[in-house]
Amino acid sequence: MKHSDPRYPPLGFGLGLRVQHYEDLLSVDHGVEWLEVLSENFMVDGGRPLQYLERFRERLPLVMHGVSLSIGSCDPLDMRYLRQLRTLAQRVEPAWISDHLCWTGVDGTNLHDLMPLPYTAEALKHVVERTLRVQDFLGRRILLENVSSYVTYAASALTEWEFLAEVARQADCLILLDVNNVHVSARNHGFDAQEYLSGVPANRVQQIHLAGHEEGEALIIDTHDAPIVDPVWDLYGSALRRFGGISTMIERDDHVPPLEDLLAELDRARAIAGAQLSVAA
Amino acid sequence: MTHLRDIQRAMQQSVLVCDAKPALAIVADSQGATARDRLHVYIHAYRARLAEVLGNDFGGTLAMIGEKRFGELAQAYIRAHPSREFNARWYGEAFPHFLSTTPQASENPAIGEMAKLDWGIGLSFDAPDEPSVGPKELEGLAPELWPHMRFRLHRSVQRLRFEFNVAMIRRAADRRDPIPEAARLAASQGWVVSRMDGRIFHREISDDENAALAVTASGGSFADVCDELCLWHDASDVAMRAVTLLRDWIDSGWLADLVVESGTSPVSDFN
Repeated sequence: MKHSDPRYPPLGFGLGLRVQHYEDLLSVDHGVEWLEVLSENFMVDGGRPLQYLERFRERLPLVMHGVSLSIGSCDPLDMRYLRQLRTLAQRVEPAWISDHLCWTGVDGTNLHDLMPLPYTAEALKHVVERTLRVQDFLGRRILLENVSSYVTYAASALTEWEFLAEVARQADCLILLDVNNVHVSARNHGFDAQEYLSGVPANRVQQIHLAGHEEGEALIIDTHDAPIVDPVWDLYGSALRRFGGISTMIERDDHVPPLEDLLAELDRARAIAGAQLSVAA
Repeated sequence: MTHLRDIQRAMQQSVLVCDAKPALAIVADSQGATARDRLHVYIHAYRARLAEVLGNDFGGTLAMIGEKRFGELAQAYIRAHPSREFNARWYGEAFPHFLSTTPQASENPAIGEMAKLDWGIGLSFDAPDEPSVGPKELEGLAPELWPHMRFRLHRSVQRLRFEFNVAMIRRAADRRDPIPEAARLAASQGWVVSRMDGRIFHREISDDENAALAVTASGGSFADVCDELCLWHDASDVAMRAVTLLRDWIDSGWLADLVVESGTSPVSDFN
């Protein structure tokens, strides 16, 4: 499975597929080059969701993004979930499959949240072993995404980016870098976002997420429900300087605006990429 | 050093019991916010996320009782029912039963019934795709074979029974019309929720239709359906009623898998 560049071919600039945009994305000349679908939304037996999925699949490259892999949980891997994921992948034929570097529950309970891991040797070994098993089962490299976090565990011995880099290297997997999440966690924990980017192995970054967040009193909260703020755009520029032309998408999970608003954000991403990559060239 | 499983259990315990204390010892102190405040981000997010899931899946119930009351009952359910499902799509499966049985919702017995309708609509929405029996399949069938026809219900069909006007309330909610007051019906009503061309339909069915549909759902033949209708109608009217119902069910896409077991039972008197 090892190659000099382990990544899939890039797809350009995309959006997270949301119900509110189904018709516009099918009818409007929007310039969106690919779509990311939420895997769990389509783990259903039938009906309109799967009919729409088929129509989008005929038009654009799709990638699958999940929230239930729970790669860091101490529970056994959920084979029922993995079988459903594999079945969906056979139907969608996605360019790639991603989930999060986190855990979502233990002892059979699911918190439906992306809980942060302690950055320890034990957790690293655990995540690497499970990622290898998942990749064997799915027959492909997966992407793991950095999550926003609000706590640091006393047990952590590595930085988040050191942990992420080691998981990618040892499990031979790829990285979905959520630039907003880097910004949120950097602010919440007081680390340097640029240092984070410097610690991420460039040849492992397959995809970038851009999103907005909410300013709280003491912490900023990753809501993915607001426009992207300037510091995140700046960090995106830095990421492109370091990683090159990476498939980028806008991920809006709530307060979903009209498609035009997201297309405008996507145009801004294109402009930043154009400027950064022309400088690099 | 605290092990991974202990960390996860402590964090999960804090989230589930809505108290930072179980996880305080494993979270490092850091500038900007206390460990307690940091843990409460997760504690709050868990409740908010699951309440949002319930609100999305139980739109009629939410419209009927309002956001505040719905939020209180959703939080009671969240406290009582930690999720065991990887897919939040199924988190609300026990919500109708919870609302029907908890003393906390006893002020309005229509609440649980409304939730059953909401859940039934959701089940119909993403039920498996499969072909319905069409009129042409019957056109080519010799009349003497009709008594031996058997069907099963299309997997999008949900059969429900209501004591309250919840279907009217759900319809008003879907149309964003003013929500009628919940009221007990003069007599209980059977309803069917189904899907056709991706759209959800629900309509009342009469008691004889409900009984006939139950016979079909349990694997009865068309002759069995006619026998059932004899309990509701004069014998001279039964054949016409049976054919009318069959046509309506087929037009509504409620039937699947036509099977004719010819020669296995006597031909019915009705054809």
